[in-house]
Amino acid sequence: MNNALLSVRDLRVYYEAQGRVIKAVDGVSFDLNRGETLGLVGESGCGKSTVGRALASLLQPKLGQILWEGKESHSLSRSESDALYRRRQIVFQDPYASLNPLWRVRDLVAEPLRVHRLLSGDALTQRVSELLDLVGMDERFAARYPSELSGGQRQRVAIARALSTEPDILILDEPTAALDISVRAQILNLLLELREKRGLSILLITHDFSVVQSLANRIAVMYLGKIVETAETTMLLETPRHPYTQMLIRSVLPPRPTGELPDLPAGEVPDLFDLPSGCRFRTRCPKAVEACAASEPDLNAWKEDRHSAACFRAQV
Amino acid sequence: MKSGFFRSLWIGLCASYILLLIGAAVFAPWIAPYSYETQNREAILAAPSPKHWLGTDELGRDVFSRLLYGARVSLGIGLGVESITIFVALLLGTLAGYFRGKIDTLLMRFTDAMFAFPDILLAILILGISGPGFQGVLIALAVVNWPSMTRLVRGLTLVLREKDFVLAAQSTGAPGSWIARKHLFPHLIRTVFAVSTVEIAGLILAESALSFIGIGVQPPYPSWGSMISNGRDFMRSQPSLVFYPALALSMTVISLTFVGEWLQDRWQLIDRKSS
Repeated sequence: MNNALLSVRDLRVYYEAQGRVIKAVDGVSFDLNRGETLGLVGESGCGKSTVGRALASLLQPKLGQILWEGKESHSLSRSESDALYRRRQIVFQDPYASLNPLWRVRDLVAEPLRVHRLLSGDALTQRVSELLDLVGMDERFAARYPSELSGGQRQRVAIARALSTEPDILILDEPTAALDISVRAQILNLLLELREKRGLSILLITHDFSVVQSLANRIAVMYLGKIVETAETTMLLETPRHPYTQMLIRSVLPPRPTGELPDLPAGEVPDLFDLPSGCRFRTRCPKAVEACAASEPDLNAWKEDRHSAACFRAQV
Repeated sequence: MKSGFFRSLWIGLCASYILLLIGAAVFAPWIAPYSYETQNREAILAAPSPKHWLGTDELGRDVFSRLLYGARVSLGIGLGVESITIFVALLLGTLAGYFRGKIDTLLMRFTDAMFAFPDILLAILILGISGPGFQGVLIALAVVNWPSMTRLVRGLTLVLREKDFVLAAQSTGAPGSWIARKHLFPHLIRTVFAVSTVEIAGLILAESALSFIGIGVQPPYPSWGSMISNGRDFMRSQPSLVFYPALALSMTVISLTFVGEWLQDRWQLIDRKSS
């Protein structure tokens, strides 16, 4: 744990649907170190957003620990948990939904400051224009409503709002997924710049390798509620060890098409109610052998200095 | 409905009529040429004349004056019952929708049971217990009216509490009272207000129906419903006794309905854009 800002240990979040249990997050552990950006990558439905929501205290984990600088979040005192709320902010995927349509930009940006009664009056107005300036928006946007803004502008407002309480941890849940490709780069650059300026530690949740590649120092790949591989960004992208990671990386279409589509193994994501025995990926895995059905590999199954993969066949 | 200019014109007309009616109801004692019970024995069942603009009824009472006083009953019941309804709906609906659990189950089962009774029969039953009169009608209609609005508010709250902007506020540490005041109510109020306008139209009709069958507002105080009921006996000789209160009633109901639907369109448009 040592200098980790945030440690997640064996996090489990289960949903109940029609009397059956969906294990959306099923034993996830990772550390987020100070100043680091960790990319949590996976297909939709793999539980990555659920991890984000659990970290934002929006849902109650079934089991496991979330430690902020070594302290468990639900054991915090009132003032400590208020402080935690200020230090950790989240930016949601869809800026069309995450901004109250009845509010003006200045009130949206000021909300966290008002909730925590940090500033009021002129000082608040002043701070809001500073924050808008920080995300590259003119002061005249302060009086507008979200419906009068473009997607990129809305996401800037959401970022300004998240930065209002001077957090050191930012959780970004698919920050660019709802944006046009041309706007994505702008928002990514803004995030890069802010990270340098503010020394932010970021948990970046996304399905998009181009986004993690440009922001993350380290990547954790999730599949059906578990982390299957983790490594430094370049290492993971250059020598992926888990067949699932390999498949994900191969499935990214190159910007200059050769006319050929990547050759991907067929197969559907298994039914969440009825997971395969042993390794959860074996039904789609080109390397699967009998041993894969017998027991489930954990992240120690393959390990090489700071790179580990939950696969018995990572060597092959 | 026709779009653009003609629709705006029509909604404007409807809204003006409602405002005019509210003015007439509030200032009835000052603008009515006669009191609602003043009898003119020389002019029984008189035709419209400069002295009695809309004629007189079988007791020589001025129809125009009685219509103005009748507006007080209609709007009083409409607004009174709707205020009680909104209060109950916002309180119970948000509690049930936001916290779910036992309150929610209880509310849903209880309102289900309420829906099993036909509204007007239930109102008659309650009036049978409480006795007729303005207060009785107010209570009876409030009792039958609150469940549907409360269910609506509950449903909206269920949708709103899952909205990202509510989650965003929660994730920044906003307490429940903040979420309710700043995020839920402003959205709920708009829909509730728009739906209320249409509901008031129904309540005014219900009050007229209760007064028509004689268990509503008691004579000599006029209600449009009782005026229509009394006028029936003179349908052949003096159809205007039925015609004018019926016209006032239909214009009120139509205007409220159109304005209410217009408000719903307008305000839901904003909500739809955001989701």
